[in-house]
Amino acid sequence: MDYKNTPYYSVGRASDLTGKDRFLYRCLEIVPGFLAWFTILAIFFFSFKAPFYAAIFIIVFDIYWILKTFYLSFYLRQNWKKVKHNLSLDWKERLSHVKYDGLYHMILLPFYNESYDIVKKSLDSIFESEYNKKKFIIVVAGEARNKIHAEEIKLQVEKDFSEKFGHILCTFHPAGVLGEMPGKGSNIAYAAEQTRQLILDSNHIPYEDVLVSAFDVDTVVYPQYFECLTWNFLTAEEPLKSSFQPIPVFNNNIWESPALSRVVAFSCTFWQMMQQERLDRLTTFSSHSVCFKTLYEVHYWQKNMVSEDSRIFWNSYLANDGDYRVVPLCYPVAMDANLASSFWLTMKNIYKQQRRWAWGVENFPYIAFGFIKNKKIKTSKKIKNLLIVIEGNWSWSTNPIMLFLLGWLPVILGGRAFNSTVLSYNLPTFTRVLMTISMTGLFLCAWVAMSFLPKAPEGSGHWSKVAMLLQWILIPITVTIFGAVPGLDAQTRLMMGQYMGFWVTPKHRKK
Amino acid sequence: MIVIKKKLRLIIFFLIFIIISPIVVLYAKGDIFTNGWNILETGGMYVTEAPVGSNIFLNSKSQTSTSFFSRDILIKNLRPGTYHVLVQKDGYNAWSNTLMVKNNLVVAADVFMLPTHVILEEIPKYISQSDGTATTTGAKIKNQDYVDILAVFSTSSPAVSKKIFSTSTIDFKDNLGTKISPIMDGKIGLWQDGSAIFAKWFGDDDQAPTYFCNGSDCSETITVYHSLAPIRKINFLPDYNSVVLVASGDEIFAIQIENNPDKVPQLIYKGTNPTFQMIGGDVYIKDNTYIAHVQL
Repeated sequence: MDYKNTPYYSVGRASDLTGKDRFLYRCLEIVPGFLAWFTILAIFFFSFKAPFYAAIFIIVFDIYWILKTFYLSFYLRQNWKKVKHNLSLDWKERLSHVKYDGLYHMILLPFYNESYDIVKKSLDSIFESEYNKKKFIIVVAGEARNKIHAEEIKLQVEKDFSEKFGHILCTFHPAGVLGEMPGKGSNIAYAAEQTRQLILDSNHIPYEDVLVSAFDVDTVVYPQYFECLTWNFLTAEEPLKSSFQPIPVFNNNIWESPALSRVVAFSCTFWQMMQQERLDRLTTFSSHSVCFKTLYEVHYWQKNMVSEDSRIFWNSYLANDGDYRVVPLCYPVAMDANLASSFWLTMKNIYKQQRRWAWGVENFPYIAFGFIKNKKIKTSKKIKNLLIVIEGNWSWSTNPIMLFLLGWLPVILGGRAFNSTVLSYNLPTFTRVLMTISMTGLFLCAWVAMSFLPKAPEGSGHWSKVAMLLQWILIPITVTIFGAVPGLDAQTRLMMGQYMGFWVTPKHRKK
Repeated sequence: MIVIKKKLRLIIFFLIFIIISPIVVLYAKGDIFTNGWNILETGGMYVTEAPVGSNIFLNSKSQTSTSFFSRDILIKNLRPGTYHVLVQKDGYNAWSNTLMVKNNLVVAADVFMLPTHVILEEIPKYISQSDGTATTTGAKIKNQDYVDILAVFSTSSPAVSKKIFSTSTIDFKDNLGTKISPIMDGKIGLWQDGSAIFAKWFGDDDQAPTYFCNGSDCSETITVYHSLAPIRKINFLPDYNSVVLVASGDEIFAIQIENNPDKVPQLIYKGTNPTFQMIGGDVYIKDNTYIAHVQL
């Protein structure tokens, strides 16, 4: 039996299973949080009981971190060059040598309570893109649990865009469906199925000729984005066993957002850029694309969990017995940085958004469990993927804390005997110097970030631009407070069985 | 080609990590490489509390000087052995000590240097009526400050600021500063026995200043000072729990607690029969009718 037809395929949490499977899955849910807390508590314990070894570990870890920073900065630089190159290419001309007339783009724009301005800006950007509009199937996907608002959006969309695209459809995902979690996954899965029935089947459009883009509703595309996507799809080695990932650049409202929000947003972009150069680690994130045939075969996005964007990759990976990949587009799509009506609300929203992203840790038990159950995947692939995922989650929740908070712990807890050693005197100095060296990578970050900035709004002075450079000194704060802490929060919740629901990031733009 | 390049890059970074880590760790714990890649274990000396601009000498060789941004200096890579450390600054008493540097350990050199001429601000007995300034002629009234301070000197239970002795268990009775009831500042006890002054650590060994410890035993009693003249009064110098203020003979001086064969009393006042009192965290001296505030 195909793995996708087993009861394990669409498991969302341990309670979806029974017996030994349930116990095993629950144990796997505990692993990431346990590792994170074990690391942090071990540093406390060894700082107290064996400060000499704790200090050596911290120094070696600092060196590892510096080298990792430089190592990853190579990838950032490499990807940045590719992005610049891709933005300068004439993709229309490239596509002129390829036959693609029969290809349709289904674009899913899920929303819950976002204003029409946000939806309109996305649709405007699609309309203003250079691709043939008749080949677009636009799906504006609302939620029935907010039906009045969804109906209003539908009316406005139909008024402004009904004649502009080949097909346009507004769907309302029903509320309270058994076994579903309200959120983006269940909404776009419903929207995709509705579109299949109402548009694809009725117009006899072959599933393999439809490329689905699941966008966040604030996604604004660059003029030749769809040409780039089409070219990558048509030239991919295994187009039906691939997802296609653009780089999310959160610059729609970057000039209005506070510095902390900007740094967090760009950090996410940079991480995605680095991942695009490390194909063995690349999974789908946020806005992404996949062929409808593939999507249909894997039963769309999972409806009973939060991180549908990355889970769809692992669903496809397990369904295809490990023969699945993500093709990096090295091409940006613009999205919103976190911005609320007040500074503190923005900070709160950033934290919640980061925690939701960190809740992607729910993929670990799913993958590990899937690897145990699916015997058709090579063991080496399983081990490699598990190590990548567990290392990713572990470093997310612990590394900034180890670097910026625990580096001095042996000196504080080590006692008199340790505090009279040369190592004890050198530890704070070495940690400080090593951290300063690793911060030099921020120059590259600042440089790349500047290149992604849209034109500054009128009236913004030189100080705004200087602030765009200086903001990078906030990195130790952002990676700790808006990185490690929400990461640890999410992993602890999973460990304790306190499952999170989908939290919709409020979209706010200053008028 | 790209894959090979990526793997090569990963291998290079891994090799750098493997090579650099032990070198940095060895250096951090105090080991240095000598000719022929031999590893030599070294120690260090941590010179603290020296006034800004002090010059530090080790075995008569100038090492470094303190500055506003680096008042505490770590002298690293010292081969194990005995070092004579000398700290000098114009206008201050020189400070020196002979310290043993051991492998991978740092020996602390807690410097205490008073100016050669400590500034004494006299509290006049009388002040002029008009502007409050001291005067010896004309209309004059008794200075209330003088009266108040004199009153403190006259009582057996001085008005000692809580700021100084917040954690103390000071016994203000007549047996003040005896072995049975030592003056306490934190966990350091200080007492007088005949012409000698003693100090002892009463806390956990783990928290003890190194000069109280012999290996892991930190319960040693230190003989702080042996006086030729009778000792009238002892106490901790405010803000320095390792320094004792002593009124003995015709002098008031400060002396460090730690065992230091080179240590000498640092003179604060020389008169006829002086004593001192702590008031509000400040030191006041009295010699017959003369009262002054010591500016440290």
